[in-house]
Amino acid sequence: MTQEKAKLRMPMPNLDDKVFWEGCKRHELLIQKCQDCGEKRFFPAPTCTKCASGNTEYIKASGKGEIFSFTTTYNTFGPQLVGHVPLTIIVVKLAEGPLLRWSNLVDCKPEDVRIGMPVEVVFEDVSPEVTLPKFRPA
Amino acid sequence: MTSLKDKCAIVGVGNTKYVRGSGVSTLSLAIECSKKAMDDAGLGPKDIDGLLTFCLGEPLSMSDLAQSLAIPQVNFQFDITGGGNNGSGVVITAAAAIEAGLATNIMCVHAINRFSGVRYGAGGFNNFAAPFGKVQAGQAAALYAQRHMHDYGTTAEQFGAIPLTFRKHAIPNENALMRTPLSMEEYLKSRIVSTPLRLYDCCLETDGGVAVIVSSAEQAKTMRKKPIYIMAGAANTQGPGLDMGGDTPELYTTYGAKYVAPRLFGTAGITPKDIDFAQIYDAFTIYVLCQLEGYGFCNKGESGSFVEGGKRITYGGELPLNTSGGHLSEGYVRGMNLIAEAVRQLRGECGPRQLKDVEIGLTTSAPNPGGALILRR
Repeated sequence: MTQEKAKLRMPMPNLDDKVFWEGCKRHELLIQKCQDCGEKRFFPAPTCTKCASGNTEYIKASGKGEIFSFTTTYNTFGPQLVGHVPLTIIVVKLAEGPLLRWSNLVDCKPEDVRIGMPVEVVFEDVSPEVTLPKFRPA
Repeated sequence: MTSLKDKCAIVGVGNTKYVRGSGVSTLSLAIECSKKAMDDAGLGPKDIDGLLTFCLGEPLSMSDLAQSLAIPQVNFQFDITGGGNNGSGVVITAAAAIEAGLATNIMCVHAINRFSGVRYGAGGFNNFAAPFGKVQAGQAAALYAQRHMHDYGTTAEQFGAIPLTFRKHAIPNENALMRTPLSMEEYLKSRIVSTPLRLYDCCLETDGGVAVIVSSAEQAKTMRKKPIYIMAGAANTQGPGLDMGGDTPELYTTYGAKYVAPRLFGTAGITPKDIDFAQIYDAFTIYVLCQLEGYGFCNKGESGSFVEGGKRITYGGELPLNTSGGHLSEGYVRGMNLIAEAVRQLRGECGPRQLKDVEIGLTTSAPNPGGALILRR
């Protein structure tokens, strides 16, 4: 008997990250830049993690970077990942500096993934409401 | 600066059986281990006037527990939201509250039905995790493990030395869930959960409860068992960086331990060399490696060779680890069973798995933020 493909829980944008998710819908990868110290950061948050300034704005990232770490998951953890494994989860060191946690690597066999591999963003339109930023080998 | 060094002691520990399928509520598990800890200390309900717990996924109310144990008055209690990073933290918080006069005897309790109740992976509501299939703590651990192997050349056999050694420790432990020997061949052949972590790199989803009673050092001397003094402790110490681990490769595989260690050893007035054994938070093998480095038992990047072959980390070695089998083989009660084991080792109650001549032990809670206790007899 084949089990039905599990539905992954989709983002529920909140007051801290809704600008990011709106950007994804336009196929723009947004990160934040502190207007006081210049630090660029990810995840979206009200203040800078280096200087705590709330003077911040979103900038469009190039979408390029390299794999900082990865794991290919084979376990479905009960029903949760049925139909999705093997699934490669990645941390990306963006060209602009910050680590993007987390995303998936697509268009790449699990055995070919390496730390340091150049990647670029690719946007997956899941529904009219949700677009997920994923990455593929660059 | 005032110091908590030796001001308080652990006077009672109690635990349920660790099983897969308890058939009872977490409140029932909490009641059982609490009664055992009270009996261990020679204390009754009227003596316990403080309660602390931490919970994630399954609520456990200390107010309910107080009523269930017929405690007539509670002077200090908190139900803390959080997971395995909190075990050592609640114990040192109990010591601080006692020293501040908020309560006299505080019981720290944790109980979970992690096998039969809310399973791991059922959380994951982070907008940047669940949509990408990152639903389980092991996947985060795997990302750190991958980076450790990449940066330091840590091998699968070095990872494997940890579950093999801890399994050996669990065999004489009647309350351990896993008591059959594990070979390197079995380890290497076991299924991959999430690369590079295999089945045996992951702890056991367990049903069980542990209670630990803290009192002032003065009161402790009058109680049933030999006091085990709290030399130092840390509750959820954290360094810079979002999420677990910071944003540089070095920080990424260090966790909270790096930030816990200086204050912890400083308060205790000792160095890592003075530690006779450690019960290291081992939800996943990579956490053990990173904490060995973070607490200064070896240099950064050298934990793989430190554990290789298992000799240093077993009976007679320079730093015996997880002498009950730890979370990997005894059971996973979010660090609290590690504290119970440390107390019993220092009391000399461990029978066939008793270490010889131990005076000072370390228990940890991880990953980041991190906590720890240094205990002595």
